[in-house]
Amino acid sequence: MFSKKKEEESDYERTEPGVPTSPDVRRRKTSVIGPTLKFKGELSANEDLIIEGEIEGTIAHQDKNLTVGKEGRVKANINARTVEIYGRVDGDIHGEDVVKLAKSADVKGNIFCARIMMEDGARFSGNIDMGQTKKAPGKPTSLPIAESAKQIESAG
Amino acid sequence: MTARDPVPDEPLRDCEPLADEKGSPYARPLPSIIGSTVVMKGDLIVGEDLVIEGTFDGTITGKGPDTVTVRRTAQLRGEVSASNVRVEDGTNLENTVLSGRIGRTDR
Repeated sequence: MFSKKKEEESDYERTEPGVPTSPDVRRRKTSVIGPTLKFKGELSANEDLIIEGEIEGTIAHQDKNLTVGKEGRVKANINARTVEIYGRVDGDIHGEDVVKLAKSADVKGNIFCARIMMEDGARFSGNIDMGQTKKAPGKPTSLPIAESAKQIESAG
Repeated sequence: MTARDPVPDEPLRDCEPLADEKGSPYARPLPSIIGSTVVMKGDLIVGEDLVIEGTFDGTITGKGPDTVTVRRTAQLRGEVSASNVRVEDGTNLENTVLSGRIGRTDR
């Protein structure tokens, strides 16, 4: 009983050496592109995706999380809600929520996201555009400027 | 069916634990899983077990003694070539050419 539990735990540690993987990741709906898999073409998905192999082409990932594992190699533009990179990516990354680059990451391309986390040691060549951040709800941004103008006029 | 049969009738997606007969967690890599919402169009080469639940249009080539498993939810169009191909009952293979050791599974 105990030995079986130990096997399971060690297996998860082995599977994703750089990725914070837990048994929950394997149980929930997640597609896995394994380390020996090479794919060239178009890929789209509406579930979490872990890439440990090689993908070349286009990745249209909708509203879910995408992880490029430590051994993962991607030559494609990436679109996803959350993007975590532990391996190599050649292409633009669009992260609706957040883009995370681990220390083992090697990214050549532009990053478009609301938030970014970059670990010390991560390699990155490109531009970061955080202009996609959602506007905070509430008063429009022009109101304070108009008020300032009135104050200037009254002072002058 | 013996324990060494290359087309074992075992759970597909409940992939834990993956240790081999000796209990070594390093002996067998995780299978690749193309989930039911995944759509792929192109050429794929794989050197490990592969489970297809989603849509694939193109060629799948298995390198090595591993097994390509096609689940009932899969929609294939093209060619699947592997040492072992396991097809779940009820799978639509109208536009698919399979080659290799073809097996059937009901789960």
